[in-house]
Amino acid sequence: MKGEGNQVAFEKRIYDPRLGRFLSGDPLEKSYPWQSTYVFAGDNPIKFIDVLGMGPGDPVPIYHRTSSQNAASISQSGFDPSKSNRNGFTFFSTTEKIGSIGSSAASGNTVINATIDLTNVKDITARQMSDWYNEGLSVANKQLKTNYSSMADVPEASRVKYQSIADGVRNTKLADFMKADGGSVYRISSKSTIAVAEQAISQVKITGLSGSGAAEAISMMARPSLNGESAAALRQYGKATTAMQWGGRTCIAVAVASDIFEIYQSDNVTRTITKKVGGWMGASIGASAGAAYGAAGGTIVPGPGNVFGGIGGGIIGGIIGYISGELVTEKVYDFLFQRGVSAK
Amino acid sequence: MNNVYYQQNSEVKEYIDIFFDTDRGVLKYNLTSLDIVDTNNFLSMMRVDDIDKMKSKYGLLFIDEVRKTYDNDMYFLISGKWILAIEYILNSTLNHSSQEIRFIDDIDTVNKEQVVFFKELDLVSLPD
Repeated sequence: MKGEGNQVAFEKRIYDPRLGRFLSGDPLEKSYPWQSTYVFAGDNPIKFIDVLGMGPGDPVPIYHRTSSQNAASISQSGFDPSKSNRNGFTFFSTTEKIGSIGSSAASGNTVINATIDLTNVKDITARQMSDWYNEGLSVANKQLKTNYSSMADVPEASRVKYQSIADGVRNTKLADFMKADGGSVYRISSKSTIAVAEQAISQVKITGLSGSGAAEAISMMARPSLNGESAAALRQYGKATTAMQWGGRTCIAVAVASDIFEIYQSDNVTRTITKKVGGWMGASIGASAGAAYGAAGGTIVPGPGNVFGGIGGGIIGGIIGYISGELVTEKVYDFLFQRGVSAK
Repeated sequence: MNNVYYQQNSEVKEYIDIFFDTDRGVLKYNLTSLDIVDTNNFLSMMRVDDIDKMKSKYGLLFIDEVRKTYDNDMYFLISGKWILAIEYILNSTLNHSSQEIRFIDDIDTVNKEQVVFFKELDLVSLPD
């Protein structure tokens, strides 16, 4: 009987909690030939997280907050835990914490969105973290020649100092534990956090950037250059030269970089670059028109390197222009290349 | 509770100093406790503007109950309707955990588990 609560809609299929089974097969069944495609979370819901209904270890969204500069570097070169302050692993949050306040003050204004398979995750208990934290308080006592038995005993004016030492020691203890334990991915239960060891960092798949520093991070990335084929196609279409002269080369190049993930993942890289550049040319043109309605000299992204400053109030125009520009150039690409029309 | 203000901590840039402007005085988050302070110069601080959304949704905001974790994440049950969380978010590329404020709404439905978690924490007494 169907009834309220008897069906749970996962993103990819429906789960029946009375049966403990999905009502349809696993879309990724070829990846898990050893088990029935109808089981939930590999028949081990304590160990596995089945977020999308796509397998015992769905790619789970994770988030890493950092500065825009770090985000630019990580987006292009990948995570490098050996360069981090906590040698040997990288922390990720399992919740996006949309609307969190205060992080921009920490130079952590950019969030790297990624996914990871948690099939082999190991757990770190809150008790373990608490013990390490208290060891950190002992270290702080030693460093500062005091003997406080709890943070509450520390005078108010000094608590931040003790907190920061305990915080650092806890992470060092965690790093030591992970190395000794030999695991790769750890879930820290009380902090909605995943720690990924250096040897497993390639399992983390970056999917995009968000946060107030994302645009700045994108502007710091190396810019992929157009190859001769797509540049020629754009020139032939006519608007490319105009847009570049009006909007400036930087604007277009940055826009291409912003779509870098889609470009990298595309089966047809040239077509995708063409499409994205076209979209941003449209955005530039649209923004130019839209700017008439906006205040002069407004900025979208504060700080140095703001390539969007001149667009000001043209944001809405830019968005409309982007969409139309993207569609137009995609069609132009199809016409020029898929139908064998020479671009020269 | 009328307003919440914050500013970057002078010693650790990833941490923030947090002040609650209430009818009973200004409360400062002091990691393990909430203490009444004389400060009322909020002009140089940042205001948590989302408080306005909660005021318009729930009316007057009252701090019902405050609890904290072993490492000084602090949670405020507000008007029995939502939770204001002050949390240290573990971070491996910054020098310290980055401290954040977030709102947990819908605690009777999708975020019901957060209330269970909240009730397991240690109580923090509000100043008289």
